[in-house]
Amino acid sequence: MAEVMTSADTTVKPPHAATAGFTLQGLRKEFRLGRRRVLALDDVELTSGEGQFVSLLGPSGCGKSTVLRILAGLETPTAGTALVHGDAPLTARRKHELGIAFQDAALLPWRSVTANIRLPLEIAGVPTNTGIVNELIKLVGLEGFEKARPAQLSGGMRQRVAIARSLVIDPKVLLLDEPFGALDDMTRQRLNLELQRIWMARATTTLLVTHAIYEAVLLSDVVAVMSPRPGRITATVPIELPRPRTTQMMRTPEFHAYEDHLSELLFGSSGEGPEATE
Amino acid sequence: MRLLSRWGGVVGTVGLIALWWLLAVTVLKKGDGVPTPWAVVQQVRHDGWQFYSPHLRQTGMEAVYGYLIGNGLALVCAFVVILIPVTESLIMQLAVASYCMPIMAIGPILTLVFSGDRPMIAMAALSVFFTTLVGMLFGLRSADRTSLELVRVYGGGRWTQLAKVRLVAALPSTLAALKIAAPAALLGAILGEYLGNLSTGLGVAMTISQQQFEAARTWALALMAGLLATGAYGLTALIARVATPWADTNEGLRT
Repeated sequence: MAEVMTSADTTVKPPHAATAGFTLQGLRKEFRLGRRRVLALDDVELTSGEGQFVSLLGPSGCGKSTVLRILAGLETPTAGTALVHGDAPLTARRKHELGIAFQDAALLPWRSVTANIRLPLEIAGVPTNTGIVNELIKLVGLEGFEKARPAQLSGGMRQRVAIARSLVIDPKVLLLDEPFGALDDMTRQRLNLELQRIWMARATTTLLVTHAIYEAVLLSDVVAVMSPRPGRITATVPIELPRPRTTQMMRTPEFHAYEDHLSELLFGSSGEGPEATE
Repeated sequence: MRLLSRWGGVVGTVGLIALWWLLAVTVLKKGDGVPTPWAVVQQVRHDGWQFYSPHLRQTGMEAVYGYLIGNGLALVCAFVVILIPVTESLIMQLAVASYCMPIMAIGPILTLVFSGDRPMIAMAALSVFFTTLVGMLFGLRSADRTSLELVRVYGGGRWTQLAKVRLVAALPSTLAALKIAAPAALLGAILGEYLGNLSTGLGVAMTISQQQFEAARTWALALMAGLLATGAYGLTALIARVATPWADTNEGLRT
């Protein structure tokens, strides 16, 4: 299975498929809703290589965020295993290897941009290196806003802060739960291209949860397609487009072919697309 | 409109005094229970500051100690509930009991247990404990869920959540509770003085002057108690505004 997905030879830095990025095996999650039990995830299987960018693509309510939350150690699976770089999520968390960004920027309103980005360092007990923080502020294009408070920033700027914050402890694994989901399309596209640039500059294993097909194609080495109720991964599709991917590339037939293929997998007959990796 | 809201307080106070004056010389003239504002001012002049200041100081000190003790206990209890959630039902039961028990019933017991001005301090502390605990807990729990999860993902525990997120998030509602607690502590102290046996204090002085049919002096003491409570409320409100600038005036330079 791993071989099938090591197809991103065209990426700037080749992913090391020999070492595991994410490993999900027989993952199952049940929620209790009053007396009823709801099966959110059933037999979710996924492996990725270290340094790969994987997207979980699916309709809302298919449990893709639950997968991410399990990997972040915010939910415990009912059955099955979830590993990040070979570690249980709680271990990875203790080692300060995880970076995370949600749809909600979740900035602390009383802290400035700089202080918000610094937060993970304070929690991890790492002495604050102002150089790193300033570098990140530059990386996400927020120079001049170091002292601004979240309420003074636009939605897009707040998400930039959230992205910078997710990178400040130099995580080995980046978990992104629709980080640009609440933004307008233009801002979203621009930030996606910037995310790609930021990601390419680092060797970070990344999981992006999204329901936007173009976003998954634009950013991913591998797209895992999920079906709802119960959530299952029905196909994994390697995206073999060279990086950096550009807006021009988004208009090419190759890009559209991937989009069509994915939407067929999402909305088509069942989930048995030609590139399903089972 | 802005002018009205700025001067509204002054207009209200003047209106109230005018109404009082009017009623004192018309409807409520018989019985000598309601002196005119002027009579009260004259009384204060006649008694002099040396008469009032010991009472004010005594009651004020009781209220301050009670305020600190009651709110301090509430703070500790709120932290315990957040850090060790199983303690919640026990602590809340005690807090509700402290609030529901009629203060007139506790007073005599406290007078038996403590001596000097301690019963008054205890009454003041009791008067603020519950409201501050509820206000603090509400604030600590109103912390943004995603922010709390963020702390967990970066390896922080309950303590870090409390220190980095909950404490500051709890400030607005805690300060609101502390604001209400300021006059409540004063009220508790005065009630304690009614029931206890001290020789100074606003409550004591009010009881005595009432028994001596000194209407103007009773009114003067009551008004001073009111002014003290208002001052305490105003001071905490001022601190609240300075301490939580992000809570209301955030509409700055939106870009």
